[in-house]
Amino acid sequence: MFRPLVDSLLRIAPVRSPSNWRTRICSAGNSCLLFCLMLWSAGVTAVGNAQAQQSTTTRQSATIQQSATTRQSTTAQRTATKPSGGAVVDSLEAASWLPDSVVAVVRFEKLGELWTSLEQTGAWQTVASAPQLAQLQATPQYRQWTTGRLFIEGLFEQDLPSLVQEATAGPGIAALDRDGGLAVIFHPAEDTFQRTQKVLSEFATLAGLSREGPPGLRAVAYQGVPAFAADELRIAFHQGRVVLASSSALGKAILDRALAAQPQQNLAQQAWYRAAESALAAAGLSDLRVHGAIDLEALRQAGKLQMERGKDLGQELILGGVFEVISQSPWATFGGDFAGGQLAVRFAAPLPQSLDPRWDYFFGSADADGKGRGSVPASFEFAEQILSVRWHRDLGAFWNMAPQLISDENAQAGMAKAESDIATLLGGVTTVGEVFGFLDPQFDLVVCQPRESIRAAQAEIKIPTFALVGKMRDRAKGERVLRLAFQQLISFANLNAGPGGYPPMEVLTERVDGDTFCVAEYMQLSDRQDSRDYMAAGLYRNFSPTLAISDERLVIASDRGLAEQILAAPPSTRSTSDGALAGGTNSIIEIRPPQAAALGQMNRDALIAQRMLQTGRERTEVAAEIDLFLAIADRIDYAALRLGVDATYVTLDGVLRLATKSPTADPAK
Amino acid sequence: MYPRDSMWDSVADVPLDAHQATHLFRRLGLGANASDLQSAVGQTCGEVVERLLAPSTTDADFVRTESEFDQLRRIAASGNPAVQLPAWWLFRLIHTRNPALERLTIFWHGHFATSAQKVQSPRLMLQQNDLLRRNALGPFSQLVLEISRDPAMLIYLDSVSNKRNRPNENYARELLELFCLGLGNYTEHDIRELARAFTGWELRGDRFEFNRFQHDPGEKVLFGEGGVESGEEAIARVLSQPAAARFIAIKLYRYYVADGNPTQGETIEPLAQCLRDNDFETRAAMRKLCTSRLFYSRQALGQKIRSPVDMAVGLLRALGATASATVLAGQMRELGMALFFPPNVKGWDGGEQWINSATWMGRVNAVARLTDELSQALPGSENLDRREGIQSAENAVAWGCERLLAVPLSDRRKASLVAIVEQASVGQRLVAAIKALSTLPEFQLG
Repeated sequence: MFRPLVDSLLRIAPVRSPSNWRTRICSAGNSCLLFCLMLWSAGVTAVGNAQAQQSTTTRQSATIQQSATTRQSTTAQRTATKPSGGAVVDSLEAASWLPDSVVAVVRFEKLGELWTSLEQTGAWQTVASAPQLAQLQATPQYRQWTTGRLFIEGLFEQDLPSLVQEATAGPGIAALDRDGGLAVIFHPAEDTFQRTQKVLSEFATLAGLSREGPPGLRAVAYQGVPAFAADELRIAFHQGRVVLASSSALGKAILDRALAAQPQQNLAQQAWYRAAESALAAAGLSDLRVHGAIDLEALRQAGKLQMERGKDLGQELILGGVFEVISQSPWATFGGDFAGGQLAVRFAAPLPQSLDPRWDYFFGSADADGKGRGSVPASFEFAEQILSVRWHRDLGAFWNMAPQLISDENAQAGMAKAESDIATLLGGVTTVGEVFGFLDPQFDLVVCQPRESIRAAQAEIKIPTFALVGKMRDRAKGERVLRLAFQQLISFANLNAGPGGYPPMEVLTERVDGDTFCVAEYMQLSDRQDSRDYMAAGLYRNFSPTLAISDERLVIASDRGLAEQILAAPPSTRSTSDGALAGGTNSIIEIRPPQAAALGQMNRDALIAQRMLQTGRERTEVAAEIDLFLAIADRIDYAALRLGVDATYVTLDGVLRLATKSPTADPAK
Repeated sequence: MYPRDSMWDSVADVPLDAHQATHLFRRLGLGANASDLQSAVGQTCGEVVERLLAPSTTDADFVRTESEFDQLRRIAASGNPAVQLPAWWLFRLIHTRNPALERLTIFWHGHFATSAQKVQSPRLMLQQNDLLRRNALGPFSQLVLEISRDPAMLIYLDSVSNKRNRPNENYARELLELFCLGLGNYTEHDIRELARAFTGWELRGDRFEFNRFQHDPGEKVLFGEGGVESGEEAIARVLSQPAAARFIAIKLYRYYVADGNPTQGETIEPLAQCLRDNDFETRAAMRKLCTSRLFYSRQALGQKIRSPVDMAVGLLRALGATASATVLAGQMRELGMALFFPPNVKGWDGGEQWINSATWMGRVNAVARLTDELSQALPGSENLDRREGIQSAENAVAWGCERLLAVPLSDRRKASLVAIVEQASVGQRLVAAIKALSTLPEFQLG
């Protein structure tokens, strides 16, 4: 069903929303206008830089699916073709201008192309033709933006998109320091450098003539370096580079290092930064259009990475390992790119060397070859599959470890109650830990379109079919307990069914060729009006909880049909969609938005009604919003979020692949 | 103040001024917006009351909104009842074309208080809500009969366990004490006999069913008189008591006229007599109440503390605005008025009970959140000032005093408010005025 994740992990970048971008420019007034000028000036030279373009072409064709070997060769090629003499801002050179108080850096290149790429996608066209956009254009903020845009275009005698395209085409580096100060350094061409200074000088002169309050922009200088100031913003021009800083102190700190004859304490000397740089290169992230690093240790010391632990069992189960990494790793790296209609991002942090044994409940034990840890099961590929969530968690080990992980008294009381309730449910025949111990750590949640019968029915909410697929470690011991638990759960459900007006369910158990099926079906009470109502609503066809066991395979499904489909799926369809990353993928969520949009279309009325209650608005308005949302979802081909663990890194990957064909042109639809 | 004997004189032929029209819409409906007031001022009191009590149900907008409510109703029945049920009703209150009926339905919901907390079935709660709305303006006797057979009520007051050999007196007791007569107008013997009459009134699935095998067929002696066998006969006997009409009249008075009981016995008697003369038809009683001098007298103006729902929905309707019903439902719960979840079988006490140190601040914060939310939600270049024609801080304060306050403010206090509102930026004056007004004690009066 899903194309391999690695196919989709192109180099991606966070795409800044055009509306946000525009709003920021116009709302920040004079300062942002200057910022636009800077961006423009920084980009002109880079556009013409053939070497940079060649590098980009190489990058666009490369994917993270490429093995470490490929990455190394790409990195080597990049290093070999890197222009010298300052045409591209060298990372260490730029870092040597930055003070050691910097805790996060982002390097970027050719950002303007992102916008162009996005505008060419069907999803963008869907948004651009939406009636909501016309509403946006009527806002005073949009009119303010339009005025500002006309002003800039008149000044440069060039339309803004091409200005932005040129301005953001070149490389740059942005940095955040401990105090929240922000700095950006560009390296534009000489003529652009000079022209921008000239424009700013004219601006400052005009601003100085204003009789209304202090001038918005004024010319200043620091140690002979020409600069400009607008409120707290500082812009300096030095050695062909443009330096923007959010405060005077930060700007001075940068220029001090740039002007120093001897190297001063700077970011490039920092051990964390050098280690992160190496890691970026090794992982191929430094080839991405946007990439950077964060000093986690500094943030921890500043108290900005405090996580509340020990209160929530579910949170600990899902994110406990990630929290551990964040609380111990010295730094983290990230990168992203958008090309060919695919957006991908990756965060990576080194796995701490002192592994706590209790991590086994989360990441699983180290593989025999020492290269990876617990991995997800192979995926199913059903034609109408909407969602797949696969994960590796040793529930038995986690439950046994839980008293040490959870410190909150209320949470501990909740666990004790859950233990007691489940023991009651199971008739006291076994403990919760033992039940979990019957299960292998690999799980797969499969969500598919509702059955044909449901789609045709008048059900209020057409629920998709879903199933949890696991593997039993010891079927002989576990099957009886699980059957008992299933029957007890249905009995409890029946106790609550009557007052709610629901008919009861009856459990049918049968064995077919060694497979066990426990199926709960609603009793069709034709003499009762409420029963007939539910039949008419399709409830009977919508839900028939099923427990199925075949060999070691365990399926808990919302209906028997899906359980049978899963058990019948031949091994060949259970492909390893994460190919080269197998063994390193600890958890993965994959979604096919067109299938989700189709489900949304089936439930359109229900979605509209829900949204009406949430917003208080009337149906027509809300319906347009839901339709737009479904249309956008239909233009996204695939999305995934993956947590990976190998011998040295924990990584979080996200990918979003936009559809290339229009919905009507796609014969599959 | 009018002489007491003329309180119930009709003013149906008297044209309404703006202040009276605002008061009428606030009390009989759920607040008034500019177009409501424009259409009402100058019309006679009788005409406006009649229009509010019997809106055109064939009007296209009416049909459309009712259709939307029905669609929402089905979703409300399938979600989390603690959020979805109140949210559904609040949405309906904000958008309804029939505010008088909705306000009366809230009244009956508080009167025949039933909580989804115990009933545990959104479907049954919505079914009861329909019942209340369907019978809100009709004969009280029919409403009592239907509510006695209502599945949600059968569950809430344990009628489902009222068996021939072991009668459960819970519903019978509440019917006499809280629903029809009030304390002191019945005996313990009457409760036992009434409980016997209701035996066999059971639930099957989500529908009422009479189980003749569990019904006690013997004669019951109610209020010292025999001849009663069935539940229907028992209800008729209860409502034939002189105290019944008076009990309902007092409840209507407290909900529509002033908090607390009428000070003199004769004050309420004409309304009770109106109920008796019209087979307990609520519409007739409402017509008499809202076209009486009493309704527009100082005995009524500003004599009620607004419920949280009146305050929030009234503000939104006055502005012709809307808000997230699910968020609003949460706010109402915090302020002590979770619709579908009354605190107990007595319903909401109302009056001074709405206000304490916590809910006061909660009310101010709720108004601030609402005004912020709706001013941000306005499309395009629209803002509240422009929409309501506000040109200055004085305009904004005057608008708030006229639409949102039931009692006049002194010039000195108005001047203080103007000084506050002048600090606000252009386009935000009305929001600032509403926020400032919401902190005043006068704002809490309806």
